[in-house]
Amino acid sequence: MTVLAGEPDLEAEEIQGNVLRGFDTNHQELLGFTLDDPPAARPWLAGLADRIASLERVHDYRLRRTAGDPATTTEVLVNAAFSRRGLDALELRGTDVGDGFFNLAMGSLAGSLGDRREDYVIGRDRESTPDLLLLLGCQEDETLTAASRLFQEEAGAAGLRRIYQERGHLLPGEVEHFGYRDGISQVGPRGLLPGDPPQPLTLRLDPSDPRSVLEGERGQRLVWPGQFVFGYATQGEDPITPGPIATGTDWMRNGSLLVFRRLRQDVAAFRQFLAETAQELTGRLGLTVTDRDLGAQVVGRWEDGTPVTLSPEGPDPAISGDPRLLNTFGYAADAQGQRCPFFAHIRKVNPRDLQTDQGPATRTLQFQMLRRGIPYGPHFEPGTEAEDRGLLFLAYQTSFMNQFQLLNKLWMNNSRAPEKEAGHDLLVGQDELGGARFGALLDPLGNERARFATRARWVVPTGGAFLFSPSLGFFRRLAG
Amino acid sequence: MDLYLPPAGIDDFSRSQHADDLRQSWHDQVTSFLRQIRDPSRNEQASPLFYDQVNDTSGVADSEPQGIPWNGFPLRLNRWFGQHPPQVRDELANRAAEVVLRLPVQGLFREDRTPLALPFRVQDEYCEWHVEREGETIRRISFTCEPPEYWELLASVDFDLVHRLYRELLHNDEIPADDLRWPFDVFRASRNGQLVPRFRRGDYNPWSIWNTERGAVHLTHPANSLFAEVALASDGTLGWPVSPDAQGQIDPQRLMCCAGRGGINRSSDPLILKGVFDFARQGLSVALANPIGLYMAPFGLGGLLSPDEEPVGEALRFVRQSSDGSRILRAEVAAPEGTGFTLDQCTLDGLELRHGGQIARQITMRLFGVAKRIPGRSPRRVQRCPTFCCTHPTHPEFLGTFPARTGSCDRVTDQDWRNEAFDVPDFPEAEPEARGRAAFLEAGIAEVAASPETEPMQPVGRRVTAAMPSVEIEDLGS
Repeated sequence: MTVLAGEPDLEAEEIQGNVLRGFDTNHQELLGFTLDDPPAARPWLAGLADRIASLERVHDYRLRRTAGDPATTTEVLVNAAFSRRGLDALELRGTDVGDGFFNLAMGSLAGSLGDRREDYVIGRDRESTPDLLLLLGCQEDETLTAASRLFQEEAGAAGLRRIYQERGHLLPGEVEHFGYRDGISQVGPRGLLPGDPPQPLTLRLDPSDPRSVLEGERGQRLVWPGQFVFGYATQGEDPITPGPIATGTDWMRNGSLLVFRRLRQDVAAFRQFLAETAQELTGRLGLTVTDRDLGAQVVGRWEDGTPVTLSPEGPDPAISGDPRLLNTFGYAADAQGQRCPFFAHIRKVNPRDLQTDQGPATRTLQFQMLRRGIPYGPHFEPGTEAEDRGLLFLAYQTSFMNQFQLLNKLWMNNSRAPEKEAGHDLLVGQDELGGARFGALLDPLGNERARFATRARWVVPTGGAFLFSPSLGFFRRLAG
Repeated sequence: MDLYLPPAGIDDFSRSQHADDLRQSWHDQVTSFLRQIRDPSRNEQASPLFYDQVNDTSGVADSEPQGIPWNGFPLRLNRWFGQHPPQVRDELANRAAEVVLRLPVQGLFREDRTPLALPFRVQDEYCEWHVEREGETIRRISFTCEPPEYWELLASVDFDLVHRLYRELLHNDEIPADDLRWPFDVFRASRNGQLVPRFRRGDYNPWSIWNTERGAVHLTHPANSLFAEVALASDGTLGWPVSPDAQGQIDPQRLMCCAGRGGINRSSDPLILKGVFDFARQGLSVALANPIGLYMAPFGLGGLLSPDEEPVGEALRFVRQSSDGSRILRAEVAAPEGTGFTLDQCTLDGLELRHGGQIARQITMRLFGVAKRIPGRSPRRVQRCPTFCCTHPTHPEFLGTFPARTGSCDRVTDQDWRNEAFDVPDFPEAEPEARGRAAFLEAGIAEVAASPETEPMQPVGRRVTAAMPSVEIEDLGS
C-alpha cells in the first residue's frame, strides 16, 4: 500500500475514537452537563480517561463489528468534549484554543451563521451551552439507555447538572430524513496506527494504482491528520507533502475541535417546495421536471447516492453500489453546471477539482471536516409532520474559522461563491443577509434558464455548541 | 449610442459642472483602451475573441452578465505565511496586509531620473482597506475597490470634485487640496528609455498620504488596475498551448503558469483567466460588461459583537454602490454613534477585531463578463508558453512565474524570487499583541519574528506579477 513519507504515527491510545474513525453506531446519545461545582467534578472527569473510547479501541471495535463479533452489539462507546466555559471551569484558559467561534455560545453567532437565535433550544447563550458534552454510542438501543442512565447518575453524584439529552438513530438505508443517502463523501485521514508493521488508518489502494497516492481504498481523498487533530501535519496546498503542524497549547495535543449543530428538518416543507417548484419549472422550461429531478439537483445526488454529475438522468445502481464511483468524481467536466447545478449541496460544500473563490482546487481539501452526525426523531410518515426530527450534526476539525465557518458561511450561505452567482446551498444553507434563498439554472453561456426563490425553511438550526474534544491524557491530568 | 458608464454607474459626474464632459471622457478612455487592446498593430497579443460590448457591431446579442467571484483577502499573503498553522498564518497575514510599503515599483521618476518610491497597500485582490486608528482605538475601517484610472480621469477634469469627495469619504473637512497634488513633475520611461511626463506639478497624485497612510479612497497596489484586468480578460481568450487532462479539462494553475498573465498567487486572476479561456475554447467571444469595474458583492457582518456580546447592528454601510445595490465600490465599518464603544472593543466571529483583513476574508469580490458567438471568429493560437512556474524554496505554498528563457526552476535566482515577492512586507516588525490572544498564537508569531526569513527586504526593480497590459498605454491619466 502507498504510505507517503512523513505520514505520522498516530497516538491512537490518546485520540478520542469518534474523531478519526467514528463510532458509526446505530444509536447515539448526546448528554450535556454544566459543571456547577468543578472541584467536586474533577475526580469523576479524571476517571473518564479509563472509559473514553480511544482511536485504538474504536478502530478495533469497528474491525470486530465488521467481522461479526457479537460482543460489539452491547458495547458502549463514550467520547467527551468541553465548551470554553467548561475549560475555564477547570482552570484552563479556554481562550488558548485560539479560535474565535470557540470563545462564544453558538447563539451569539446566530447572525453570522444565518440562524435565528429564537429557534435555539440549546446553546442560545453560555448558560444553555453544555460545559461538557458526552457522546455515547451503541448498536443496541436498550443497552445505550442503561449506559446513559448510569452516566447521568454518576455525573449527578459528582455535582454535574444535566441540561441536554438527545438520542440519535441511524435511519434504514443510512439516509437522512429527506430520504437521501448520507455520509457518503468523507475524506480519509492519513497517518498510521500502531502495529507491526504500523497500518494506515485509512485503507489504501494497491501501490500499482497511480491514484493510491491521493485516494484511499473507497475513493476517499486522503487528508493529513492535522486537519482534524492537534499535533499533526495539516493539509497544505500540495496534497502529498505534509503541511504545518496544527499547534496548540500542550493540553491540546491529540485533541480536536467539535462543532455540534442541532438541525431540525421539516420534511413536509421540503417536499412541498420540490413539488411546487418542479411544477413551476415544468411550465417555464417546457420539459417535464419531477420532484425527484429537482431534489437530485438540490442535493447533487439521487436518493441512492448516485451523483447527478455522473448520472444526470436518474439513479444508477452500478454507481450507487460502488463506493469508489460514489466518491471519485469531479465537476471540472461540468464547469458550466449543466449536469450538477452550482447550488447543489454537495457541489457547494466540496467543489472538488474546481478552482474556487478561495484559490486552487487543492485548497478545498483544507476546508473539509470529518462529519459524524446522526439523525434524530422518528422517520417521516404522513401525519407526523409536527414531530421534531432532524440531524445531530457533529464534525471534527482543527479550525472552526477555516473549516466550519468557511463552508457554512462563505459557501453554503453565500449565493455568489464558491463558483458563480447561481444560488445558495438550497438543502442546508440560509441566506447570509436574512433574505430569500434561490437557485438558478444556467445555460452554457451563463444565461439564467430559470430561477426559483424561497423563504420556506426545511432545515432550521435549533442550536448547538463549539467544543474541544481533548486527548485521554487530558482527563488523566485532571486527577492531579 | 450607449456610453461606458463609470464603475457601478456611480453618479459623481452630475455633481460637476463638467458632467457631460466627464461622461464622454470616461467612455472615451475605456473605448480607447479597448481599441488598443484589440488592435493587432498596437498589441501583438490582440485577440479576435475579445470584444468591446458597447461598440460591438456584430448584431449578436450578449449573454446576461455573469459574475466571477473571488475572495477579498490576498491569497498571496496566506500562501507566503502558509508554512504556519492556520491561526498563526491568518494573524500574520492580517498584519502584513496592513503594512503600507513604499517601493519604486510604479515605474515613475523625478526629472533627475531618481526612481520614485511611492506608498501602496499590500492588498492585491482589488479590495483594499484602511484602518483608522487612534492609538489602539479603531474608529473606522473602510474598504474600496475603485480603480485608480477613474479617479485620475475625474481629477483631470474636475479636481475640486475629487477634493470634495476625499473630504466626504474620509470624514475629514481639513484635508488640504494641495495634499492631493504632486508637488513636482513626475515622469515615466518611454520605450526608448527617454523620460516623458506622466504627471505635472499640481496634477492629482493617486498615492498621496490621504489615499495611503491616512485613508483609502481608491486602489493603490501596482497590480490593482482596472485596465490591467481588462487586458487579462483579453489575454484569456487567446489559444494558449495547454494540453487538457484525460477528461479534457484545463487546470487553471497550469494555464496561469503557461500564459504568465496575471498573478499566480491571487485568487482572482486564475479564475478570470480560466473563466474567459473556457468560453474562448468553445469559440465564444468575451467582453467585460458595462459598467466595467471590480466590485464587492453585498455582505453582512452578523458576527460583529459588542463588548457585551450582542450583535452590532448598523455598523456596516455601503457608501458607494450601484443603484440596485449589487455592485459595491466602498464599504465602511464603524461602531454606531452613541454606542459608547469602538470597533477594537468588538469581536468578529469571536476574535477581537484588530485588522481589516478579518473582514476582508468575508468579502466576495466580482467582475462581470458577457459572452456570445460571433460568426467567423476563432481563437488566436499562441505557439509556446512564455512562462513557467516554480515553488518558492522556503515558502512552499508561494509560487513564482518566470520567463521560459530561464529554463528551469533551479536557475531561478534569489533576486528573481525577491522580485516575485516584491510586495511581501518586511515583517513582522511589531511586538506581538498581548491582549487576550491565545498563548500559542503569540508563541507562533514570536517564532516567526525570530526566524531568518524575516530579514528586511530590499527594494527591488520593477516587476509586477499581476497582469500588465502588453501594449504601452499612452493615454491614461491626465
